[in-house]
Amino acid sequence: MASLSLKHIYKVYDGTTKAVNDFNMEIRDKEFIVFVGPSGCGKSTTLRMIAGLEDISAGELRIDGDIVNDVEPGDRNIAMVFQNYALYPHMTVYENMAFALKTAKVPKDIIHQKVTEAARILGITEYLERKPKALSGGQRQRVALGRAIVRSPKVFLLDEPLSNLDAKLRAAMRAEITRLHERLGTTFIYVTHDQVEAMTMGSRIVVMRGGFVQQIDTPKNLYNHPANLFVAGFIGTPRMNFWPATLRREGNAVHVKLDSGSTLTIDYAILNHVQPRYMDGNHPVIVGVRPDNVIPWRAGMDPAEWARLPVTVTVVEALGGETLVYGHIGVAVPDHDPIGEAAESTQPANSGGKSEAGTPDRITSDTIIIKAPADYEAHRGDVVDAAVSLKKLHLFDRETEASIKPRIPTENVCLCTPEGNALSFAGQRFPLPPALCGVSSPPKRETAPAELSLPADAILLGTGMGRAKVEETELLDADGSPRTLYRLTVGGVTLFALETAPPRYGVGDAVPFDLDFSRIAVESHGIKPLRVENALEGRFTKEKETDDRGRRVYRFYLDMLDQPVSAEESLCEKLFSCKGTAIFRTPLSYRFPPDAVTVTPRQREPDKTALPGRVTRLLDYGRVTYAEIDVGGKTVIAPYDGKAGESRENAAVSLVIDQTKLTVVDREADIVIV
Amino acid sequence: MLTVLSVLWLIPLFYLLVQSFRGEPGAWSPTFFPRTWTLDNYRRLFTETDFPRWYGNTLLIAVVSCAITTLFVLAVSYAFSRIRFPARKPLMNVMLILGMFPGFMSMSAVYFLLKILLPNNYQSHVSLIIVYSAGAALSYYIAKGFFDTVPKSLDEAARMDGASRALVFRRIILPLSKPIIIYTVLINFIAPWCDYIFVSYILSGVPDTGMYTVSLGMFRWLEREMVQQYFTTFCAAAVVVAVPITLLFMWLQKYYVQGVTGGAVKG
Repeated sequence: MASLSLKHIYKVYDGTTKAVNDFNMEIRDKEFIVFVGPSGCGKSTTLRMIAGLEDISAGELRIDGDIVNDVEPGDRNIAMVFQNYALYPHMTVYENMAFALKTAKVPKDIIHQKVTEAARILGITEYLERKPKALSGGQRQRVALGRAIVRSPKVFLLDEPLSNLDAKLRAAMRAEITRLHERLGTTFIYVTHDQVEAMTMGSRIVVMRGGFVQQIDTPKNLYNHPANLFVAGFIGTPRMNFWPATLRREGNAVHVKLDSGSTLTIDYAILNHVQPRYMDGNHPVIVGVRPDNVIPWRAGMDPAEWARLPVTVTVVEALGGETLVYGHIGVAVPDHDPIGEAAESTQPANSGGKSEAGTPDRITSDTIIIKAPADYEAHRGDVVDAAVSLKKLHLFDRETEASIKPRIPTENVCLCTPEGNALSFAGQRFPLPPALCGVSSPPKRETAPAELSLPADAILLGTGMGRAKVEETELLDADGSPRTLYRLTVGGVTLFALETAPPRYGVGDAVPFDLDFSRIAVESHGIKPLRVENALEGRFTKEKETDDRGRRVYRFYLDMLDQPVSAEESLCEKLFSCKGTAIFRTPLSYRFPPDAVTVTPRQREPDKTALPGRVTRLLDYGRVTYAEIDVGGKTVIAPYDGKAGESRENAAVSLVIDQTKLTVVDREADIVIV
Repeated sequence: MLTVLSVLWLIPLFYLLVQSFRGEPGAWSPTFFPRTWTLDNYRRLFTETDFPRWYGNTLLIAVVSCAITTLFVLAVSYAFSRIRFPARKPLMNVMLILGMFPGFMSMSAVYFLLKILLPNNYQSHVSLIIVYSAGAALSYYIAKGFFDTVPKSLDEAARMDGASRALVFRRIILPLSKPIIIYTVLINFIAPWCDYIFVSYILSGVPDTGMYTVSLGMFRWLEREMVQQYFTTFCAAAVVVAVPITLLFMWLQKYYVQGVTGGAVKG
């Protein structure tokens, strides 16, 4: 019974090769987490770091709130099932299962009781006196599970436990492990390269690739809302169809022009999550649609929901329960060999394997897989009509590969009219705060519409001059903190607002709202969002000093731009635990958000707790006033209560940085240390 | 072909065996098979010579240094196989190269080191045990190769089960390493058992010939003035010396063939 917290976990080999990159996750008690990805993606390494079998290069691993980075594997109260079972061959099954308890000097009668109980649960009671070599693969697997169960661990780690079993046994063991999880009520972390195992077992899935986390979500969300092209291609069999395309919006219709020549027309309402800048007709995107949502065209299908595409059939696979039709969009037979491509393109989804599913170079512009009923008849060379479900389209940026139709829209883009001291959009008028008054006027004071980008969490509900109608609320529960997504309509424009709280308003409510002007951007008018992170370069240093009682002690300092600031003990501990004494030689970058800084007027010389600075400019955003402060030649942005000093600009100030909000980055290796 | 070779190989041994039963005295026999057969040589060996004492000395030295050596070699090999520490690779290479030089190259150095180490007692059995066991870890290579084949996941599983490194070595790795333990024991028993060079170097100055080991004592019998009298006894002694090694081999050889990791991992 345990929760785990992984913060900025890195695994670096030889100082350069990063096997795991900035892994962040909160795992709740009793969750069944699956790490999935192709081989070499870092999933096993992450698991072994949790187990303690690999050192954590940087980052913080907590089990039940305690940092365990330097705790021996045996003391973490974690059990692990290995891919090759790792049973002790010279011991009987009973001795294998009892080993951990014997090591812990548990009384014999309790050992006996626990082992027989575990053996009963797993149905291996009659093999207890056998040696592992006299067991079949499935039985060995059970013994390995039993060895883990008897210890009643806080966390169960399983490293591809089923990959050595045949397909039939694998399915049976899959169900058995799921049952075991329910029965034990322990946190499970399971590593696999098989997306079917991941989808069927996990309560949440972590998709990894090349050491980077691609997406952490429930199986359903992964399937329905893949965060990027890789996840879309990796999850689901047969693999998703991908077609390069461009989008163009005309009124309420969006034309999806495929590079292969066909055009799908979709109602804008379906694509209202998509950021408008992709709808300009030349931004390259990739359209993805799962074969489940491509079926043979039938007469009478609603053209608002289904698009009709002519397809030249190349391969037909009758699977019994259904028929998969592979082909090309269009009526012409293409020059290149489509069979290999189509078959190959489905392979990664089945096997995981080493292939890099979902990379754009694999995407041929027009291959299509249709999932047809079992009695569907088609032959090579036939031209058939496919119906593509328009509601189930996925859209990705062709360059970044990220989804542009995210489940949680983080940014709204709409047209606005800046008018000197005010900003009008969607029929609402907001006075601009003083900080933006000057910049918002274009040279000719024209009042032409401009594009406003408004982060979803920059819409502040509950107060303000705006009026919006709630159309839809959705409770998002990621990593234990409830968030609410509101779909609002404001004067006919759809806006999304995000709040870090459970839903406060119901559908149909009229809600007042205000804007956080420090976050908005109107690029054509020079309105930029306030920088969200300050960065100062520096080092970590120590000084030998005399303390109050006259003893010589080491004191540690964050040396920011050659200004020493005493380091808090907890921060020092974290830095040492990650890098040891090498921390003194590492060039660092200290990053912190504006609200981590407290600014006070400087009354005396700096005393090594604060950074000295000088206010260069005030930015009045109405709700909060920020100041640009010059610190040793670098600009730091911080909230500034002007009343504290008399002459507000050019005032000498002291900056105290909240070290719990500080991010320390190793500049050399680009690793987040804290 | 192999049969012919093995017969050729066995001829000297067989000659030694039959000569040990020769009744007529003298070093040289005109015939391959003795004309008179007798057990007198063996009786004389055990009653009229220092041979039983030598035999005891040799056994003691061989057993003690074998035990120490085996422990050294296995521990060093396991550490090299499993633990990653700074300078592991350079250390392994240096040890490998040093191990390639014959041990007697260091003889004079060893002599002076022993004189420093045991100033009053350097011509002793303890010296010999030190000489045999001190450099033994240099021959880590074969045992390390064996440990490398034992799946690492066994260590990891045991460490997850709460075992310390020492416990993993004792309870998991050693029981799985019978073949290599036996190999190491045999090699390190035979070396001191048969050694002549170091013994002659360290013990030949001892006034009490009873402190000799078998090889040194027996070699004395082959000196010009002794050989006529002692040759047949020498043959008998050689047979007796060969007995324990032969028995050891016969007893332990079955472990060579036995598979070890059967059932440990996927099968």
